[in-house]
Amino acid sequence: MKHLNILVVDDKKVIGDFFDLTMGYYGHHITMVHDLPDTLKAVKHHQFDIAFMDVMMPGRDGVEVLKEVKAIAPGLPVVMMSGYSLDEKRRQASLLGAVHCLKKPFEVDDIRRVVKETIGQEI
Amino acid sequence: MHAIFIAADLILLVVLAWFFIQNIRLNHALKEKNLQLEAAIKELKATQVKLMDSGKKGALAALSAGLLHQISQPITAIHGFVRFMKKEMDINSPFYKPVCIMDEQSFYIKDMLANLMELIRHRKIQKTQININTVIHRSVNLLLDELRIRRIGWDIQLDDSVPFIFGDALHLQQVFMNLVINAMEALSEIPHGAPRTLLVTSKYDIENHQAIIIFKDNGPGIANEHQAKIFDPFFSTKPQGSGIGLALCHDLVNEHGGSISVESNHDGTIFTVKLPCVRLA
Repeated sequence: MKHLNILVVDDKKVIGDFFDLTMGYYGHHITMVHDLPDTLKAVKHHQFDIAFMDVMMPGRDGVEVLKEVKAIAPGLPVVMMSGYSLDEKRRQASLLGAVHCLKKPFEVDDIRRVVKETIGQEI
Repeated sequence: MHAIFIAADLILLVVLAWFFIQNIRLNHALKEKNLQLEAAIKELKATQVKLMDSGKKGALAALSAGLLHQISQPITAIHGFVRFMKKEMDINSPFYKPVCIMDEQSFYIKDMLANLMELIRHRKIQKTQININTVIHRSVNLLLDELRIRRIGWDIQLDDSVPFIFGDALHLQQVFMNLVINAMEALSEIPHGAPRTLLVTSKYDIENHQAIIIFKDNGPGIANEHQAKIFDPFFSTKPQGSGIGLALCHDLVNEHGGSISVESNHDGTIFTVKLPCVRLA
């Protein structure tokens, strides 16, 4: 099994911890960032296999963050995470190239499913 | 002289008669105006109640949306970690059973959140001309296994003369499925061996040009004091109920310009959904 480089963008530390302690346990490398500058820095300097990004960021719309990320790394598969249904935001994110939307609350099997559907990788 | 008096009397009589007739006319008009005023006041009161109701619901939706976003974060961690631990844990560990209970309970919260999301989300209604009988069939068919497992005898009697409905098939399917699930839960309270029945019917109310869909079960019924609150959000008579399913049905039916009502006694419960049919030009 290939170990993935996963970027997690969420202002809630516990979401990053969740990825780190579960996906990290299975050998994947997790980079957690909580705001826009750190996100842009991370995608500029590192190569990720997939990114998970929250739709709602404090003071910043997750869709705007996605736009800037896609400008730097157009090929990066991005999965948006949302706390509740935001159909309009999902639509916008999808137009900007987000490949999936993961609805919170989710669990390890949901992450696995989305990774498989997004990059065709069993993890 | 005598003739002059007679003429004067006649004129007076005519004038009095005219006044009398006018008085009757005015009285009649006044009564009519009073009736119109009463009707207007009644309508105003009903509108006020509706506005208060929608205001409450709007505030509730806004509050719930914010709360949901906040709650979904810790629940992702709690439920996600518990599932992960359960998966990786040795089943002989003394902690395995407590973890299973935590998993079950956190799943309940997760499920309730998902239902609540459905209640408050503003998915655009996509209305088309639909055959309501097809939607009823589909809704019951999706729950056939559950009906069989719970040993519920069911029957569907659909009236082919019901005209098309202008509605969102998915939303209405959700309404009908919720009503079937509700009936199944009520019927589960009947002791094993006793007959459990669910009858779903549709008929066309020609006079009001509407479809009437009825879900009738022979469950233990809903207490009188609970019937008025049965469609209120977060009201439930079940210990594990979220009180969202029927509130969602109520909202979705309202969005279709219809109504939903309940009648219940110790012989069972009847939910009636009324939906306006398409008017042909």
